[in-house]
Amino acid sequence: MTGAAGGALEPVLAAGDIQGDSLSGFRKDHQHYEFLKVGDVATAKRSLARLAPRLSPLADVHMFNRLFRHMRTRRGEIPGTLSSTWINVAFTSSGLAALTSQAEVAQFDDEAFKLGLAARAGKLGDPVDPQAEGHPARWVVGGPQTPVDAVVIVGSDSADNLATTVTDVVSLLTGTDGGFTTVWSEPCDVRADLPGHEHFGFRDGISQPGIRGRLSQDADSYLTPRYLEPADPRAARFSRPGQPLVWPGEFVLGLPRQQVPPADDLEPAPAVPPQPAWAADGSFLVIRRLRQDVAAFTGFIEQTAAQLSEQPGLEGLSPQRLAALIVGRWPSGAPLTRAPDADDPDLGADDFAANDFGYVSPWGQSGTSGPPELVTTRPLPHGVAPHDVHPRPVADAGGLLCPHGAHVRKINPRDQGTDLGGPRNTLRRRILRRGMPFGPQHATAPDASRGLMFACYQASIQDQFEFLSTNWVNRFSAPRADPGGADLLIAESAATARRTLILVDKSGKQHEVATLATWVTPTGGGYFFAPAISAVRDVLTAETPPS
Amino acid sequence: MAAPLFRPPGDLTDFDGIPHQREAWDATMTTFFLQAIQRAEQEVGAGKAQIFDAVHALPQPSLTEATIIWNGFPKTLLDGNTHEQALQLAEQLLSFRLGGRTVQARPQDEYLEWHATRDTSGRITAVDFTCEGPEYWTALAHGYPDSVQPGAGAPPAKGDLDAVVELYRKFVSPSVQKQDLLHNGSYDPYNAWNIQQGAMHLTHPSNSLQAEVFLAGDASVLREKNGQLIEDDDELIRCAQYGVPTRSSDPTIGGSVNGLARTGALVSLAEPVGLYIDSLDTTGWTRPDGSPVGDYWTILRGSPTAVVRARYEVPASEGFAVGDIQIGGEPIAFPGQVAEAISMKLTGVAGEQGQHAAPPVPCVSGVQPLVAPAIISGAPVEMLFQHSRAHRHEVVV
Repeated sequence: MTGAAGGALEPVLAAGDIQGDSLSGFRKDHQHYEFLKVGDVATAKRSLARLAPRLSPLADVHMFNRLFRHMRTRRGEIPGTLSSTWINVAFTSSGLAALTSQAEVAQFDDEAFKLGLAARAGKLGDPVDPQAEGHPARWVVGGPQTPVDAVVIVGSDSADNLATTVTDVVSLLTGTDGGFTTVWSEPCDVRADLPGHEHFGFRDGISQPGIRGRLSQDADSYLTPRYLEPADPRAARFSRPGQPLVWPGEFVLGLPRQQVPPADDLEPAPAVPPQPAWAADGSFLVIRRLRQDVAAFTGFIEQTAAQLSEQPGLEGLSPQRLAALIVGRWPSGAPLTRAPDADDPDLGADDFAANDFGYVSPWGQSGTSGPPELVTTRPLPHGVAPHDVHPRPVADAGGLLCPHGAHVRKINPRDQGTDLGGPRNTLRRRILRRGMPFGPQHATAPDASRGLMFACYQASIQDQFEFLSTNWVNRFSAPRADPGGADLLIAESAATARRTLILVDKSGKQHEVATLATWVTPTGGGYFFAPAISAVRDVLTAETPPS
Repeated sequence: MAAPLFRPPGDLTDFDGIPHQREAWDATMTTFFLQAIQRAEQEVGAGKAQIFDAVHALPQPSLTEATIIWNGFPKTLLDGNTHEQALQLAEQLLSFRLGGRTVQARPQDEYLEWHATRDTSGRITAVDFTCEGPEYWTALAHGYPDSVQPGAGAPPAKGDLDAVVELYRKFVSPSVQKQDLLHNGSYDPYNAWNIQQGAMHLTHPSNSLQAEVFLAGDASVLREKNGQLIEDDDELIRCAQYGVPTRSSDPTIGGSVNGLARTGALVSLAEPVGLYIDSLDTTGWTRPDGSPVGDYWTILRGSPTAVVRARYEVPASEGFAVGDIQIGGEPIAFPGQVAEAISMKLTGVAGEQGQHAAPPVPCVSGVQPLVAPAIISGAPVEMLFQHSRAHRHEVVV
């Protein structure tokens, strides 16, 4: 049996059991992370049992997101007129061990999760000097002095509703009958001045994989809406322009996964039963509290742009363009291969066009010469034009327009092969990003602490988040050498501290941009597992651990 | 002025004292490239191949280099196995029939192979890595690789088996005896000191210099499907069948070479032609006390930019061994954990961009035989030196 655009029929997801933030994303303007430590285990189990019915499943989150999208398309911006508040929970390996047993945790096939973020920090390139701010010894949460067992994530469209729910949940879990204690609380809000942008000023979260899977037995009840005309050759592999479809087992345990190339990934690789069995329909969650030094970043950009602009081949290089070359997009989100010389806010505001490009083939797939035709039966998201009339993308295999070391290219090389082989291998490394800014915007409180609560879901921390961080972001020659380059935005190098990006001018001459300075510093976080709601209810709160 | 010669991989100097050996190596590599050109010409037509012999081409085009990187641990073992299973499988030797006998080889198929030394408790004390092709060693032993048969006009090199023995004693074990390295009187790449007791050079059937050259040649052919030029690395290797698509190396090398060819350039491999260890990344590796490890990586053969042999071993003065090192909290229990941190490389070259674009050809039909089995079976590849020396100029100019 095949799906609408060819390929295998996609699996029906346990939408009432999978926690909603993983596959759908809360997508809220206000979010709160409550990091917890288990105290008395029996008490903690009882409070967790009271929380379990309030956890927000994928079905609820997805339906609300769909309603919100429809209303926004029809009415434009609708702040405050539609609101929901969601709750999810996830546990570190120590938390799961406390609530079940070490033997249960030992069954997980992910050494990174079992060891925890603090133990892996050095591998990620975090500072090795215990006196350095980024060393786990100084983390505000998740370090050896601030261990964490669980995190509760509350998200809402309404700040008031969020505050009410957070108070309620925290009281439930940390009150007299709670059994948990708070290690750290982190309120997050989208930037009021630039919604959707992180503190350096760049729009975030544009490129996410499309997730295969259905919410019911209906053949077209897709979790990820399909916007491409079925006749378009890309329709079977893309949910929207530039958004490749990935089998859900790459994000949630126990579901069909991507095939290993050269096998055709229109068919899934069979699901692997997870260990322990109750981990099915759960997802690994990485949280990194990243402090951003806006003044250091902008200072570096301005100073370096001034120096580089005196070099032949880079004449007139502006600070804005240098920052875009480091990120790979302009602040609006417009990609460099479609807007090489200046920002294009109209392009950046079109979610489809801003993500529709490749590096080897202009449109990201061999044999295509223009944007895909879109269906006319489904309303398009707010800001998306029915026909892509923006500047056409330009192929850029050599990194002349978008450097190989540019942040967006490092973590998502798209249609370009990597040190692991062809580009379809990259689909097995994708993550679902759920980051939110914390702290006030720089202009209003320059001395305050601010940054990004980076969060992502995946089926393997080792093979996805850690692989991207250690093998691609931090390494100069991967995923692509010639000329290669480090991800100057977020790369860390505990060994050398020096990071180097290579810019290639129009004549092909290479220019080195090197720095010892850092503007993103890890200050906490953890490796978590977000179980299915039924596992929270039936396993983690059970009086006796599973046998 | 003497005609230029193909240089030995890593600019190794073992051939220098052996009469005619460097010329014999040049003849061998020349023939490999000639064969690669002929394979491409079968697809695109005589005189239209974009792969060329960059050493002997006249006039010499101005060349730009493109470094190609891939991971050193076998991706084929990671796919479908847990991480620990893959690390275990990487240590389990393959067995196959060759010339009427059963031989063993390592399953490490990314042009990087290794051998671990352990102490009596099983703790790893050192890991030797090599990316030297078997052709170099059989040539050093007898003048020419096993896979080629010199014709009457070939340089009369005879190799130096004693030199081979001395290198084994230096890099594998002082206990190596000449007879240990022989089978039926000839150098045996599958000898115990190169398989079970050490790793002097590559052994996996796919890991050879000839395979590398043929891969580059086959990948230089532009491909089309339904009238559309193929640019996707996965699609290219599936279409052209120029290597093993589940490896990291073959799709990466092939896709990169094809990318150069799509610019309409002549393409080849940079001198000295070889496969090289690019770097070892020890970020997050810690001593038993939790502090970062020192630099325990020693380049043993090759040049700093063309490393063909290296060893990872903690100096005795440090008071601990490789097996005591932790990577992100995980002790090094398998040598493959070190290999995972190694990047491999080769360098492609391109010249005369825009002047040589051959029309793309359809996909290969049927299953093409891989290069390597020709070596396993011992089937000789005819070398016609007079023809090749005359022909190479015709082809590349």
